[in-house]
Amino acid sequence: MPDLGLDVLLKGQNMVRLLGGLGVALRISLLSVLISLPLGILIGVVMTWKNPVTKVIFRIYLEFIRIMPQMVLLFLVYFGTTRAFGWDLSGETASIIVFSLWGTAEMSDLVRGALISIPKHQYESGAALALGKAQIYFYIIIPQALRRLIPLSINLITRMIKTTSLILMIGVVEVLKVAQQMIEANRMSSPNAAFGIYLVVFLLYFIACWPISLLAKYLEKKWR
Amino acid sequence: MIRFEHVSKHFETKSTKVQAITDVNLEIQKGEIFGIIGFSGAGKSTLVRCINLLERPEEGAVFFKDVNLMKISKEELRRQRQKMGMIFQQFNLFQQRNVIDNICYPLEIAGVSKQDRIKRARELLALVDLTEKEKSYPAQLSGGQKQRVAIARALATNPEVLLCDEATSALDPITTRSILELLKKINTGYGVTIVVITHELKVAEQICDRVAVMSQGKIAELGTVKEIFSNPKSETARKLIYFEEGGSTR
Repeated sequence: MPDLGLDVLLKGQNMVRLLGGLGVALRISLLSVLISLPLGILIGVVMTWKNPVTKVIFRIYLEFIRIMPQMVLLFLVYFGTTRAFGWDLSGETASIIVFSLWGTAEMSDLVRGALISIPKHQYESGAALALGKAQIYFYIIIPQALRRLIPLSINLITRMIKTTSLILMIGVVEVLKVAQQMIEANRMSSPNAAFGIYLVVFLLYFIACWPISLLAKYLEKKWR
Repeated sequence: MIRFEHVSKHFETKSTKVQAITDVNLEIQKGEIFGIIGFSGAGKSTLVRCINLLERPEEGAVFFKDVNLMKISKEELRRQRQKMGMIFQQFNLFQQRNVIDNICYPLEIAGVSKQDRIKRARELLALVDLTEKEKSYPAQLSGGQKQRVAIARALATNPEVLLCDEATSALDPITTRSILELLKKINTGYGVTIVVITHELKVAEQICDRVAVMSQGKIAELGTVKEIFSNPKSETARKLIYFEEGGSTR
């Protein structure tokens, strides 16, 4: 078996550091998910309204976020706000802001899509039962839309976890950055470490995302 | 009971404007079974949705028991809607609730106590002949049974009118007949006014007292079932009768 340099992981606190890095990545992505899911649902509902003002505002927001590469957004928020407003945001805060903005935008579009895919007669029969607008959404439309949303939003959540690998660009030390540091530090003693460590990083991401996929499968079955 | 005065409604898409109903005048009497028949796209569904204002006409006035529905607040409209039940071709039951909870739901909205809700729901289940299906879920029922549940639910708040939008169009002829018999029973037994929309002449023939024939958003002809069948004056009525007879193997 070729030398993968896995011994590097056992040196000193390396494994703990790597897991710590994963912790940072997960903390940032899960906090952003917690912020973006409810906000996205709310904005998604608003986006189905026929009001031209809200329509235009959220459309621009969505397109802006969707077109910009996440890296550009990170730079914009991290460096841009410092130059423009003199804010001193930490890399982590900047990442959470960007990921929440991004997640909210994508989630709202998913919610909008799910809502307009609910047939019109569902709204009508709700109204015919003398339900108010809020009740129709709450009891009839949203439960059905949620079921359609599960696979889509799980996809979004795992994408958010994976995209945290970009935040090392604004100086946040997450799992990938730790891995790079470890490889650099051991370049001379075990030059093959890159293979082993990146393999472990891959496994860590997998372990983080796999349970979420399982949960989605379970929910989809249960709520059918 | 229900009165339309010069009611018009159109739908707009980006490129086209569709006049769904044009200047309709109509009066539906208390206690009758009123049929609205016509081919697809004639405006029947829009017309019935204007009765409980699921669709709001641009022009004209809709009176329900001499209340102009176009002039009242949203809250008031919801109270009026509780006096009108409606059933649909797609049944639209709550999939996550069992039969009795489905029927209880409008009562819950209306603020009826739990005991009274269950009592009322059981009465209705007996009426629609589904007592033993109380705990079943919609997915476990046949089309006809689902429509029976929908009827029971629509009747829960003791409405004075029952609107049926193609209620039997997804059902086979035998089931259709039994649903129509149920509607007839509700009409004679409880004095509920019933408005039936259908493209099937048989349906109108079997239960309606009076019929309006619709064509291109207008009422082409209005009269008792007998009048229209024996002596159709409008082109549409003649066509409907012609296709009906051509369609059967008599």
